[in-house]
Amino acid sequence: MSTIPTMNERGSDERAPDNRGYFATLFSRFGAGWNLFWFTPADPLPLGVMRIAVGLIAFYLVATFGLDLRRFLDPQIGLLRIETVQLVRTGMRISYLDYVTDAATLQIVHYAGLAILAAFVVGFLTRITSVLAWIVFLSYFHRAPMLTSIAEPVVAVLMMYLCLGPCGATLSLDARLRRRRNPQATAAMPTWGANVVLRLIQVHTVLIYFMMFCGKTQNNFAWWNGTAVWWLIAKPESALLNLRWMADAPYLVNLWTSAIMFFELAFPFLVWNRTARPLMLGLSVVMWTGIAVLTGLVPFALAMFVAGLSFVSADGWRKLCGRRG
Amino acid sequence: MPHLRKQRGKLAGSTCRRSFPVYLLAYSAMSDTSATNPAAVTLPSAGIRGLVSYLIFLHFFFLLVGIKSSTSSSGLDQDLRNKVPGLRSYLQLLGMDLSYMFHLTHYDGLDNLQDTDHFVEAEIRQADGTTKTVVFGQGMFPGVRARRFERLAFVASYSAEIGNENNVSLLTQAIARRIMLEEGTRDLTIKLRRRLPQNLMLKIDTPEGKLAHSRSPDDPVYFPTIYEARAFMNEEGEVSVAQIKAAYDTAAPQGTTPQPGASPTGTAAPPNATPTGTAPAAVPSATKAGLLSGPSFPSVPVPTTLPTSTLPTATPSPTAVGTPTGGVK
Repeated sequence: MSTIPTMNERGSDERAPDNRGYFATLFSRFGAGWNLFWFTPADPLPLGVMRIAVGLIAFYLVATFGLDLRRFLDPQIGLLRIETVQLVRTGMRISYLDYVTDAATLQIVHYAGLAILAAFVVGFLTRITSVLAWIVFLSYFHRAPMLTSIAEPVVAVLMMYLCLGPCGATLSLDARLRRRRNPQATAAMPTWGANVVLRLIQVHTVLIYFMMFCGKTQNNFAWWNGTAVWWLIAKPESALLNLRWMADAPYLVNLWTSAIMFFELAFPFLVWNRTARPLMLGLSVVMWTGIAVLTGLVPFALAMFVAGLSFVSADGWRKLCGRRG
Repeated sequence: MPHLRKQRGKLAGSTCRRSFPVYLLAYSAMSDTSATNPAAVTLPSAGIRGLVSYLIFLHFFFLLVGIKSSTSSSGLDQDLRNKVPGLRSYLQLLGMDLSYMFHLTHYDGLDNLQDTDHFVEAEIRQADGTTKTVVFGQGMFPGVRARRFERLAFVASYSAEIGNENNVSLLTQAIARRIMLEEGTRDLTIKLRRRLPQNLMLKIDTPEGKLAHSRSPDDPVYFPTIYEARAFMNEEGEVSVAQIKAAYDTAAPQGTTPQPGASPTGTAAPPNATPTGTAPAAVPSATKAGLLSGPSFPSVPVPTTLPTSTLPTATPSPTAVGTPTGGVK
């Protein structure tokens, strides 16, 4: 085990005459920065919050499948029987639902999947259920890719990262049981594993934001001329609210369109800044609420908002919840 | 955390001497996501750090290649995607084989509007001669359920638009079969339709704007048919579809064309395009694409009271006339 150099050490290193070459210095300092970025131990509390939020979204998406389970996936009379789906879907897609051969088994497997997702949400045997919950979610995603929206890839990625870290160390049944068994047990300690997972989520999230912005600028006239929000409002089957009155307020449409673009451009950069971060996260509440209303993509908006919560520190969560320690 | 602020201050003071990436990484590491004193914390061993760093690098390399190759056709991107061992499978298995360019709506200013709503409509001829129209998946709640039906209609429509006859025939066959089971019928006409949004952003003092503002959002002009087929189920429960119309046309979002009352759905289906027999074998070869039989399906229970001998003769859809006005990418 090695220690992170203190700022004084690094400061004196800064002042000392550097006889090394430029690239040696660059790599050395980049390495130090890399280690600080990825391996500084972090409190697992934000992962616990994210586990609950992501787990609830995944549970909702899979549970709503249950309402049309036989209609879509019944091996005999379902719309997307495996013989059809295998001819349509492309790429490497593996799902345990491919091997279900009768309706009764399908129901059992579906409810078992829901039970695993519920266990993941409450944090029961989290090391195991986090992986199983991810497999359950991906199985639905791969079984019928023609039914998935843009929410599923975001949720799948978040679940994958949560599997890698101690997401059940806090706010979980596991933690409660641990304290009951051993009242002297201390609260979850900061670990580098928690930090790696948080950093993975953060980097992936800003990448998604940036690509969303790029998608809006790539030969996309609607976003450049400020009318994109109108095209979303004018989809009556999608929008949650009837905002057609905004046809009489074109400046408002232009403003809203520009605000979405600027936010998606600003977020990947400014969210790293400690001062700007609360502003970015506050704006994300407004922005994703607006996008959910405009597009009806509520699970997607929620998933993106939750991904942004990876930037809220453990202290931030404690302040928000009004407690210390 | 005063120590963090102090250290950040020192770090900020030396920004001019540090390269930006190093500063960014170090500054981020000092953020409040770490609840510990960085002067005192311990790092994992160099071996673990090296292994984890390698995996992180590999993961983001795969991810970036996946994103890049999904958005560009450069030879390097495509070769990396196809030739780096395991890259494609890794991205596909983890559900990351996409560009993340979620543009929500896309309009290129040349009448090409994407991300519109789609739906599947079935016309079922009743015994009394009337036609029952069913919109598949209508009235679903919560929204995510309706979204799945919309998505299915979109995938089938998109397959039709890009000329993927295999996918469109398989999907329409599967959808038709399901509707037949739910509605208790053996034949129907299935339509993949798009719902174009009304462009009320046009100024009302322009001809296009006047036209757009004069229409109802439910005007037939906003509902082009992208694909239309007749579907039949034989006695063994096998479903076949015969394409009536695959060409599609779309109304211009500006509301410029076609004129009110005209249908935007393209050329009419030829009268002889619809089979008049009762079984797929009776479908004439006069249809443009012929009989699009999919894989053989096992028998399914079908009500025995179906009027299988009274199939309607060819009836061009009332919406199947109009002027082509553009295309969608």
